[in-house]
Amino acid sequence: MAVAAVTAPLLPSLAQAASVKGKPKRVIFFLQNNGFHTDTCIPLGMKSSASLSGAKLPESIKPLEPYLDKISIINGLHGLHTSPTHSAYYGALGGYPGGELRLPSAETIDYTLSKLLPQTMLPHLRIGMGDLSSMESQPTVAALSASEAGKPLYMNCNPNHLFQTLFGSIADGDVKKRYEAKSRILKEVELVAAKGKSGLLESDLALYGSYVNGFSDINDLRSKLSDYSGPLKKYQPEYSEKYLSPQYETDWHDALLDIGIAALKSGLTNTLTIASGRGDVWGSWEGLGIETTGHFLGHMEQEGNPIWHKIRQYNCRMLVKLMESLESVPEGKGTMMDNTLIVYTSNNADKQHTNGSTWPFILLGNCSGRFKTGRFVQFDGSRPINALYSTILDAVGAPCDRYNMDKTNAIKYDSHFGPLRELLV
Amino acid sequence: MTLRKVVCVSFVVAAHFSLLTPKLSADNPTKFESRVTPFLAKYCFDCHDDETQKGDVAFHELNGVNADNARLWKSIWEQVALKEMPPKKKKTQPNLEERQQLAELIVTEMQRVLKEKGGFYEHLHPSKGNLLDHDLLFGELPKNLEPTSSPARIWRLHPQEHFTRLNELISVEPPYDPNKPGARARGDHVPTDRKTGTNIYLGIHDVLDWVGTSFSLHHSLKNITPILSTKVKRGLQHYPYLYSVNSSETLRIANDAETIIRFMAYGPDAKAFQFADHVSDIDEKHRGIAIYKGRTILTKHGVPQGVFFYKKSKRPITPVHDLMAEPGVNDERLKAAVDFLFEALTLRPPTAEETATYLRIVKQSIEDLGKEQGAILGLTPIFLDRAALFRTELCETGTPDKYDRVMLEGQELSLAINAAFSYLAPDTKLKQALKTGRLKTREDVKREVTRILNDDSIRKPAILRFFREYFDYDLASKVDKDDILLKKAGGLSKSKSHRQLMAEMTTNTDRLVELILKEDKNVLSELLTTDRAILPENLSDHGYFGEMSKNGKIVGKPVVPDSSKKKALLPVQAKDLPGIIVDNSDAKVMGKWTKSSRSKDRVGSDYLITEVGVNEKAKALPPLKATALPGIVVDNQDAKTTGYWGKASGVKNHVGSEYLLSRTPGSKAVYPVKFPEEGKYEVRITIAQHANRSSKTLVTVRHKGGEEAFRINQRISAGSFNKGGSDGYFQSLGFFEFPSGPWDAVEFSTKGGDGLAVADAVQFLAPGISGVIGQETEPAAPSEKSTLVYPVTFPKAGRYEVRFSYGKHPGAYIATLVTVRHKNGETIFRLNQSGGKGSFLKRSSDKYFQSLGYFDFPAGQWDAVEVSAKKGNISANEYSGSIGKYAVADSVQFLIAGTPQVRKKETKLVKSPGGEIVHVRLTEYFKLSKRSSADAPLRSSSERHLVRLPADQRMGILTHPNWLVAHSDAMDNHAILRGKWIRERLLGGAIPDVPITVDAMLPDEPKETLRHRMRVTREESCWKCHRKMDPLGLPFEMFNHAGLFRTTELGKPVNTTGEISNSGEATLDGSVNNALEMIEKLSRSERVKQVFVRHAFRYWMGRNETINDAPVLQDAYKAYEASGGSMKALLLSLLTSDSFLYRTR
Repeated sequence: MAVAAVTAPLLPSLAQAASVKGKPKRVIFFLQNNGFHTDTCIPLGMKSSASLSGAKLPESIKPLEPYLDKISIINGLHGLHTSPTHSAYYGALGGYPGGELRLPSAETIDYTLSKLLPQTMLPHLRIGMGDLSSMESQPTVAALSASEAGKPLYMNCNPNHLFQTLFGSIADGDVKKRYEAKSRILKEVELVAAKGKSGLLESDLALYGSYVNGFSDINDLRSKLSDYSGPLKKYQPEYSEKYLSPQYETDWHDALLDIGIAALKSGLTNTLTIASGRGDVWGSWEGLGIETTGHFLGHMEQEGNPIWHKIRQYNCRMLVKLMESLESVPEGKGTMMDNTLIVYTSNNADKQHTNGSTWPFILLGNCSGRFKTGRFVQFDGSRPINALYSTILDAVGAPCDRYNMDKTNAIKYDSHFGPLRELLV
Repeated sequence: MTLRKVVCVSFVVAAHFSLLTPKLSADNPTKFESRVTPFLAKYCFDCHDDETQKGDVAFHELNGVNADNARLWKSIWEQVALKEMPPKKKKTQPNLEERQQLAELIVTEMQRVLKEKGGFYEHLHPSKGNLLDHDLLFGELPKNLEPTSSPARIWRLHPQEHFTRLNELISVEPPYDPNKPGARARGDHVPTDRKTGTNIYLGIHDVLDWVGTSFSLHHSLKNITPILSTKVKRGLQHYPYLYSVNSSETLRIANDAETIIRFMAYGPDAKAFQFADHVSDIDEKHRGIAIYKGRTILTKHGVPQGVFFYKKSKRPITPVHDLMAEPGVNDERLKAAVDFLFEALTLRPPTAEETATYLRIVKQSIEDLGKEQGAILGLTPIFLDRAALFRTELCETGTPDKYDRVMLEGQELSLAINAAFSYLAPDTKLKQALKTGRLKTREDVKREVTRILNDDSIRKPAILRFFREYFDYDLASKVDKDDILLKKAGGLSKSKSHRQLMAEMTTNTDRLVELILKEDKNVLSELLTTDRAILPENLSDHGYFGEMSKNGKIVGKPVVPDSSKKKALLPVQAKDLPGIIVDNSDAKVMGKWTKSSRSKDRVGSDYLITEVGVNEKAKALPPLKATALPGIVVDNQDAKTTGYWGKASGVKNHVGSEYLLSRTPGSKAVYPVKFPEEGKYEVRITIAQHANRSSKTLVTVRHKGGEEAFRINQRISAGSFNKGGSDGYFQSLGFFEFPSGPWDAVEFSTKGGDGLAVADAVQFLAPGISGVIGQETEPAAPSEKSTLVYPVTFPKAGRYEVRFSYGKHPGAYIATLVTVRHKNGETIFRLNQSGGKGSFLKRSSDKYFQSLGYFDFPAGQWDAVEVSAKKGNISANEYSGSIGKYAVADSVQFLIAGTPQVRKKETKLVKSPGGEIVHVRLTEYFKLSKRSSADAPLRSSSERHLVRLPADQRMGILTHPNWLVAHSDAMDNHAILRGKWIRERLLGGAIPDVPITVDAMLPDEPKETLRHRMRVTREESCWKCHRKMDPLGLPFEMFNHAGLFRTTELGKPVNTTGEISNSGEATLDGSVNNALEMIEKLSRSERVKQVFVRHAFRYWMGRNETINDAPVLQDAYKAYEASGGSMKALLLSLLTSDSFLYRTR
């Protein structure tokens, strides 16, 4: 039947990735909610693509100024097709229509990359930062990442839970106690579930097996983690007061970042997705001295606004911390950072109420020499964010013409095929 | 060959029927080849041997099935079963039996060969059900046909069912109300909310109030979303093999379980201040309301602390609560909690062994972690019990009959009957029947099914679910629409609102289906041809039921409704209102206020208005001398002008003797300056604001690094646009680098403006130099400030709610300052009087009054409220629309805390509503977000109107906008999808899967009709399949892709012709003029009704039919026919059939 749109994403196969020389090893996505205003990212006075050498950055991202040679700033990609007002949700990393309570319509780029990069025990770690009570009451939420159509991937928002999951096996005290109790429970459940196989016909065993195997998967990860105690011990973050009695939500944000860094450094994961504001329009940053919370923050101008300077600079300090932490660990002839790409952007393009006609990004690191750095790149608005994702796939050795975009949409939303050549070496 | 072998066409559920087909299990590949090759040689080699290779397909070297040629074998299976091959023109044709034999052989072999390579399941898929020939099923029954049964199996709960059970643990839903049979009651499926998704909320019934809009309510409440893993997007979905539970889902279920158990134990997870008996008990500061620079802001907008709950919880109090409420651990309580949870989640009591297992686990957990943490974690495994996620039909204990079948019995039978209708536990009578041994025979089942079918108080969400899956009308909200094209087609301008509307239409169609089921006469035919529809009062979706005229406008009377007339508001009288009312006639008036009665949402005969800001600033601030100001000041007389600029001096807060004005396109004024040294300067301008100015005057700063353009609103006072503070004169544009020496630094332009552009003075200040002028910040109090003060005499001291009424007057100001003077000081509000009331403080709005909150007042006389004509500050984001210019004041109401706000009738209908009033399902959440006041009872917003549609435009569900949209795409109709629906769901045909070589695209020709663009499908290779769909879909071209009726397309009369062909029923075949004619014809067809019966069979049996099911299908069809098209009769027949009752292990 001729018209049914062919929506199968043009995904690279694992085989292609395996044949790559050169070694990009990890990718980090960092999404701040409520939009990344163009005024807060474009170097002062710049209108067209140029070197960042000697550039002055807007107040908001000033902390990145010492690293101009390691970053590139991108403006002028679009997300018109992602319905980004308030948030494009899964559409931000998927490059397809998103919306409140809409299920993902395909996998997202972070998940795609986690399958392609050199395999780790926990290929994809996602952390979400919100206000304190939301992080307590909804320790896992899904809004940004997906493994396939209709399958959201959950982000971890409670650093205690996450610490317990990843470092519980090597911890001590209450953490270890809870970890062990939960392990025992999960093993019990696995036994009870396995008993449920009795009486089933062969045809149903496969179906039921995926349920039982679910528990052994979880229990396996737990036991693998205990076998991996060397690296975990070496890099585990200090389990401090800020975990148990946080004064502000930022204490937990910091804790989550520490766990994320530890997971990268210890080789536990290759893909990290950080969602400041948890992919939605809410969130609070009282720890930075900001009283206004939630949705209202999105109704403000950003550049020239001390409130947003604080949030954005806080993001930048986190980015710097990520870079410096990865630079501190040798890898091959260089450091971990040499084989890393950090992608900083927002889950709703440039502002809270937006059509997504421009979607700013900052890339940090050159990803094993694949990406040019030290440049401001202004696109003309004719290429979608999907093209950037194709570019990253190209860099990790899995080139594709388009990411999550079928022909019908491409005619409307993309002026070219393939990666953004301007960004690649 | 015996008939048994022939007819045991296990290709549909071959895995389960191997017992019946011992000789066909094809363990031996040579056997497979030896049986298949003669067929191929006889019927296929003519065209597909090594020489002919028609269509590049050759069979001469095709050996047994292997992974490489599986696709080709699958194609042979489909083509032969569907009688596509051999081509009709060939004289030698295999008979139906031969075709089925081949189909079965291929399927069995595919399963065998592909077992270790991902398996072969396609024959199990609902969409392949029609591959079994209709005439075989409904023709003469073969002799010696073995009686049927279904395979023993486990069945993953439908996500909706799982969800309903979880909801039972945390919510008390209303009981069934016979007076509102359509309204949501306990046991109904959890309906859509926020109109696009499904959620259950923890503590939704306990919500007392919240900060912000319903949007923030939604985000602040803890919620649980369903765990969906369906692999099917269209059509029947509830087949056991389509569902399992994977590891990420189990983890989520476990996490949700902890959240739910904690809620069951302790209620909403909130801070102490979030609980109150009454809204007035909540402290303002906890409501997150702060006054910042005279502007009320919500600081807790959309955070969990912004929701407030009743102290007395309305959640179900269960043994889990009792366990946690008491200190210590008590075995009895622990067991009660385990048993309760088990039965609530699995719908049956636990066995002793099950109780023991879960008790052991929870005890161990308590030992590990202490009571609170341990009990909560320790109870979660029950949520993951097999019986909580799967229903079993294993028949492990029964005695097989001579065909090796076992009849369902005991709990399995009881739960199977129950699951055919309900998502809750079996009702008392069914439980009783099981207990007393009256649930053993077919007669017993008949009795119980009849009883349940006739009891309206037992909700039957599973039946409704069938009609959703059969028609797919609930998919409309999932179809993305292009905003522009949607609007052009008469749809809503925002695709998000459109999607929400589509979801609401699903709710309305649900109810229409139920009404037709209630009548229970010619159910299918009525669904296909009814002239009824259910509509809300809201006009917007009447438009979708409307007609598109030639010039692209929606015209005509879409549907009857007088009901579409909105209720008109009438003024209320003070005497009809509770509490103390101070109307404007009693207010102390200062300055100039004018009476108006233009807006009806008022108290008494009139209200007062005054123009904001007219007496301010301009008069209070005298012109400044440039020489007296710090920094470099360039006044307008030094500006280099082009175009035409006039001079004026009426608005006083300017610099020098006058300022320049222009609205002539192309006029510019450039300000030259000589900088003493290179460096950074702050650039500040004066604008002499007035209402006749441009709201977006273009001002460009040319600095060293380039240019920066600003759009300045010159209608409102300076300083409010950017940081930099206001001094009543200047507005800062920010700091810029300039070189030393002469420089054309600032340009004013009329370009793109919408009023007079003003160019007055520009000031350049080096950093560190203060721009402060004499008396800065706030201007002097205006001499004739217009204010209105409401005096009141309080009978006693105490807390009162203050509610302010004002007409929604045209041109009302968006930031009117209203001050409440209370016992503890003053609270200033900045009200947007142009929007709906309650839009800002989201509480206690009823179209007349805006609540300002609760305040303490002393007894006796008091000047309690003041309305000012002073301008409230407006932030940059509020510039986009009109800001208005009138402060409006009507009356103030004071209600002692706890007084209900009920008024006597304040509205009347302009016309009586058309059509009968019916109710539809809405969630608690939806009702809550729509309620008129925090203290008001929930509004009956579930009311809808049952109306008649114009017979020349619409006929039945297939012509309703939501069905049409569900079968459309982003930009146009989808004739193929519509045709496919008719072919499969009504005619019982099937379309083979799209060959991979097909590039499925229509040409992109926006100026051509869909019919013309579909010419590409007429190419020979495409048409083979498309002839089965396109002519059935194109008659729906009488509607556009938003579902509006149309007579023209692209300026020409629309072609709505089509054709029914190869239906299998000779009288059906032939051309049709439009969709209505086609639907009418189909609705009378016997075959169409039989195909409907086949679909009902599939849904309730959870599998595709086999030839052995033929007697069951024929009986079900007879029951339906004999009863005059009764769904109840059809269901009774199906649910007492062998297919339903018997299992084969």
